[in-house]
Amino acid sequence: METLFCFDLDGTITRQELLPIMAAEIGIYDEINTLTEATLNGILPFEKSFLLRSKLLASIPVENIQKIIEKISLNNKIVEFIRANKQNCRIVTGNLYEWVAPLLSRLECDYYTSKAIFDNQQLISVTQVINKGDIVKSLKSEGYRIVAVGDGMGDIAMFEHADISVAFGGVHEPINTLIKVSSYLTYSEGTLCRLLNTLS
Amino acid sequence: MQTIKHAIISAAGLGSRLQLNMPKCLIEFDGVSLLERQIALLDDVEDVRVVVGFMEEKVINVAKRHRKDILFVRNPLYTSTTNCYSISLGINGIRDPFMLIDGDLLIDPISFAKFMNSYEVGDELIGYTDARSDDAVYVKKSASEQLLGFSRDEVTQYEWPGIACLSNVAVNRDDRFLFEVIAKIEDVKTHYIDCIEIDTPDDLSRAHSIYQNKYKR
Repeated sequence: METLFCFDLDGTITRQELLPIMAAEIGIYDEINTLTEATLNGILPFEKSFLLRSKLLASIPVENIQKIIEKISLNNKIVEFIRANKQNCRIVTGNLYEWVAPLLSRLECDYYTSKAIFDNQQLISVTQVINKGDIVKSLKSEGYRIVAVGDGMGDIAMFEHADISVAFGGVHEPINTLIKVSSYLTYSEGTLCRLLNTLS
Repeated sequence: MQTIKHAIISAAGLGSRLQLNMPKCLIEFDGVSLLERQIALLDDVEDVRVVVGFMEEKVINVAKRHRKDILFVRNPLYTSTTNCYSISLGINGIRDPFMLIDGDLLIDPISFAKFMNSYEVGDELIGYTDARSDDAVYVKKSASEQLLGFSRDEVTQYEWPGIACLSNVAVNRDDRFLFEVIAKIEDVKTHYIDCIEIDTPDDLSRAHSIYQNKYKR
């Protein structure tokens, strides 16, 4: 059975959570960071929190967001693993394609994102917040063995349906509920990549 | 020590016979737990995995303080599964030789180094120690250090403490005891290792005494 590696993006591949960085652009870092922390800690459901944070960030032109996103530092060993195994890797992110497109092109593999309507660089509305569990279920029905990697509340559904799941604490402590549904836990990027290579 | 790339510390169990309401691997000697001591012994091993179950948060917190690149392998079924089940999770995907260590062992570091120096790639090697624990599995070995077998009834001078370097051994989740798996392999070498397995309150007090009189140096 062919193995497919499904990666969360924010705080797993990126060394920072993306939405708070974007928020700094319009001076609402603290507000968005508070919402992000509450989401990571499972106090706010991911979908509601993402919709709320998107509304707060909607006034930033896409072009500006992409310029910020381009500068975000990544976990390079994970990026190397993804590029080396691009046919068998997928990015599964709750973030919007239009916002994270520069990162996705650097990773060179296929992806699943939330969807939104934009008009002239402005976010009008989020039309679909991704359900990571549904993505994994669909990929499994195609016959893949799924290895999921993530760190936050939004990854729980992905972990529940994956064959093997790895909670990654390289950027921040993974939420305890996620650890409880994971097969492995590591705080080291090198260890994560070594494990993924053994699971290929 | 350079020859083994993978080590799995099995630390998921309840340790119910000890009645301490804490994982056995967190028992401390001079303020340093068994787990911390074992992690220190494995400094040169590239891939250290700790199988966790009972009170996993506590075990993870202690382990990660001492080594950031540990891989924690979760056994959520620790109350209803055997040590072999934990080991099968721990060795999943490993294709090279690996080392297994029970998390409830207090090990003399000098003796551990000698044990590791005796290992050669491709060997199936088990450790044996002086028989002194309450529930010993005795080791029968030849003068040339070949394993002849294990026994619970036939008392010998030595017991099996749960340390081994293996390569061509499949440990399956349905296996009962690791020594039963090893007993089926041909040409297993043995080497002495000074250590104490802690399963019962008597084992623990014996361990404290041996630690004070011998290992503490």
